[in-house]
Order: sequence, then structure tokens, then C-alpha cells
Amino acid sequence: MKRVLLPPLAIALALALWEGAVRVVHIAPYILPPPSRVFAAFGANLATLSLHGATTLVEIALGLAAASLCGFAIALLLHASPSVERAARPFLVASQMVPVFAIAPLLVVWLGYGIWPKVVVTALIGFFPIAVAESDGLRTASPGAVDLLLSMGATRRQILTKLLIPASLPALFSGLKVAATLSVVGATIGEWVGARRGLGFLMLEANARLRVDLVFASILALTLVGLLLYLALRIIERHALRWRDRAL
Amino acid sequence: MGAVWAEKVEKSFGTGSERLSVLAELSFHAGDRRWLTILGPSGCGKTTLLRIVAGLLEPDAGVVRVGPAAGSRLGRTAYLPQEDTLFPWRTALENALLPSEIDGRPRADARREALELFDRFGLAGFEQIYPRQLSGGMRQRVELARTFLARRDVLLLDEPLGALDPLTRAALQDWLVEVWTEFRRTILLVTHDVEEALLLSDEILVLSARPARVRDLVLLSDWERPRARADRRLFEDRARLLDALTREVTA
Repeated sequence: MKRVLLPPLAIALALALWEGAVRVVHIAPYILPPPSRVFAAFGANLATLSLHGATTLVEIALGLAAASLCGFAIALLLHASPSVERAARPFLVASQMVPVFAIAPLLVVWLGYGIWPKVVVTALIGFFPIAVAESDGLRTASPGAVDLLLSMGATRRQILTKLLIPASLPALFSGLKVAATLSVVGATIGEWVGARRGLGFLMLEANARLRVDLVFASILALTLVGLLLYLALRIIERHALRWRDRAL
Repeated sequence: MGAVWAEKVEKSFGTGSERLSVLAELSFHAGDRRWLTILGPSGCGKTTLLRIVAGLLEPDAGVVRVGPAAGSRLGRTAYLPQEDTLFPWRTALENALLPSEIDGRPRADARREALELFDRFGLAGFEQIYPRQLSGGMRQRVELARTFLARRDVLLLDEPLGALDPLTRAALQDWLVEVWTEFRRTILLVTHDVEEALLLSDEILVLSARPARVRDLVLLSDWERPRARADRRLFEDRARLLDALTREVTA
């Protein structure tokens, strides 16, 4: 009971401190609104927030799906041949050195103001942890299990689908969860650079109008979107790896 | 059909001064549906020999043949590696169906066959259980069920009972004899347990310390199975074999 109650209690305490501090020190609400005002703004603008949130959620979902496909495909390619791995590694590392902020405006020029530049930014940020995790995961199968399949006369493809990929799933899910948290950042950046919709866009607009309470409400909404995504992944993981969680 | 020949097999690992000779001029023959046990001190190259027969390694010199046809041995034997090779994400039954999937046999037939074998192997009721929920002895039964379900004429078993406690081990030895009597196959069993070798085999190939050579060939086919652990012959042969093996280790 204590374990269940502790996290919400801690959050409530933090919020109470925030509320108290703002009131006692008399901080202007356009600098730092108290949580009560943030929640009020969240409630009052629920329709707007849901509308923009839906756009952001679609961007994140598409971006994450693209990141998963690319990350998985890259890991398989790297696994398929050591020379491909050697040739591709500099590009992979370089792709993570390029600040995504720097190419986001270019993407707007190339792809317009719609959801696609955001999807691409999200995918660019998310594919790397997935590719790295899956790459490692493909190496987790035991040599004895590989021997077993080889002795049965299994093909390379069978070894991959029957053994290496299933054995890699725990690692893949770790990568996916990292990518999911990063994807919220990706979509937000994408929207800051140029958008007509989305929580990032709403945030900028509210900021320009000094509606700091609405900025915080947008952040809250983004956090909820991220949490939702994370929970969805957890549920899929629980199901996919049920052999691991089953109690003795 | 399921005979295994090995003729002057040699194998070493590494190069130059690091070169380690593992098998030296090793020859043996295991007849069809016979049980040949390979007995030798730890680290003498028994596993290497089994991996060569399975086709996972090629000898540096010499010839190994499984069955009548020459050529690659991969896919011709059912190899059970020493380490735990059950796939943890598959249930016991799904693990046992793995060979049929590799061979591309119809799933319904393979399933029916596996369920019958599970019944015979004392695994009924454990079909949908994941490996981590099974005891050591049960896991070994599932691994052996999978090995039998590979439908190969030759089974290569690398210390299948080595990790078990003595009681479970003894129970599984008896069980293995029972199962083998019913589903006769050619078996090459690697072990360093002298009693196990005497209880189970038709012939025992005694190997020297590394590099492994054939020290002795013990013929037991005149001895009816199941063999009693209290049998006089077991005591005498065990003492003799242990003597020979300990001389190998201290030499």
C-alpha cells in the first residue's frame, strides 16, 4: 500500500511547494504561474489542447514507426555483413552528431508545413537507439543454440527468424522505450521550426502572448502524450515477453 | 542407415607455438541403432569430437561419415549441446517442434507426434510451460524429446545429464534406457561418468587425456538392459575403468 501511495504523494507535495512558493514570494503569473492556474488553463483549453495534441500524437506515432522500421532494418543490415557494418558505422555515428535543430528548418523547406517534417525529425532522433539496441540484441543468442540450429541443417534465414530475432526482443524493447521518450522532443522541435498545429506550435503561440499558464498546460499535455506512448509500449512488451515475466 | 565412421581423425586449434592438438588419429565405428559412449577425462576433446560428427567442425585430417552418403553432415544428426539450449520464449511443446519447423514438416503432424512423445516421455501436462518454470530434470527431458523428434537416425548427446543432481540423474538414466529401448536410434553419448557409461551403452570408447587417442574399447552388448546398479559386473568394470582414467589424468 505504502509503495503504491508514495509516488502520488511525492508529486502532490512538490505541487504544493510550488503553489506555496509562488503565492508567498508573489511571482507574477506571466513569469511562473502556480499549478492551480496551470490546471485551470488545462481544463479551460481542453478542446484546443486535444486538437493540437492529436496532431502531435500522429506525428510521434508515425515518426516512431518509421524509426522502428529503419532502426530494425539497419541492425539487420549491419548483422548481415561485417563489411557493410564497417562502411555504414561512420554514417550512423555522424547522423547522431548532426544537431537535428540544424536540419529541421531545411526539412520545412523541403517538405512544407504539414506533419511530414516533424515525422522525419522524430524518425531521425529515434532510429539510432533502436538500431544500436537491436544490433546488440542480435548478438545475445548463445553459441550453443546457434550450433543446435546449424546441426539441424537450418539456413541463415531460419537462424535469424527462429533464434536471433526472438532473442533480441528484450534489447529491442529497451531501444524502443528510449526512442519513445526522445520522440516527444523530436516532434516538439519539428513544430517549433514551422507548424500550424500541434502542442509545440501552441506552446510557442501562447508564449508570444505571455500566456505562460497555457505554455505549462501544453507541456503537461506533451508529458501526457509521452506517458501514453510509454505505457502502450510497456503493454506490448509485457505481451511479447510474457515468457520472461511469468512467475515461477 | 544410422552408422557413424571416424577414420584417423585429427584436430588442433590455434597456430604456431600456440597450437593445441586435441584429437590424434582417432578412429571408431558406431553401428546402426547401437549406443556408443565416449568416455574420457575432462577437457580431452570429447565435445570437439561430437561437434565434428555433427558437421559443425571439419577435421584437419581423416574422414568422418554419418550414414551411407558422404558429404556434409549438417542436418544429418540430432545434436544436443552440453549447455542449456531450450529457447526461453517457446513453451516446452514449441521447443520440441523446432526440428520439424527447420525441416518444413506439416505442423499438425509434427504436433500430434510431439504430443504422443510427450506422453511417453513423462511430459504430459507440461506442454504449455515455459522453460524457466521447469525443473532441471524436466528441462532435460524436453531437450531429449526435441532431439528424438528431429527424426534423425543418429543422436549426439553431450553430457545431457551432467548438470543434474545425483538422484535426478539416476532416475533419468533409467528413463533414457527405457526410452531408447522403445525408440531405437544410434546414440553417441559423451560423458565422464563411468557408471553412466556402463549402465547405458553397447560399447564404451575410452579416450586418453589431450590429445585424445583411443585407449580402450569396452564391449557390453552381451549385457542385457535395464542393468542393475547393484550388478557385480558394474562394480568390477567401474573399478577397472576408473583406474585407467585416473592414470590418464595424473600421467
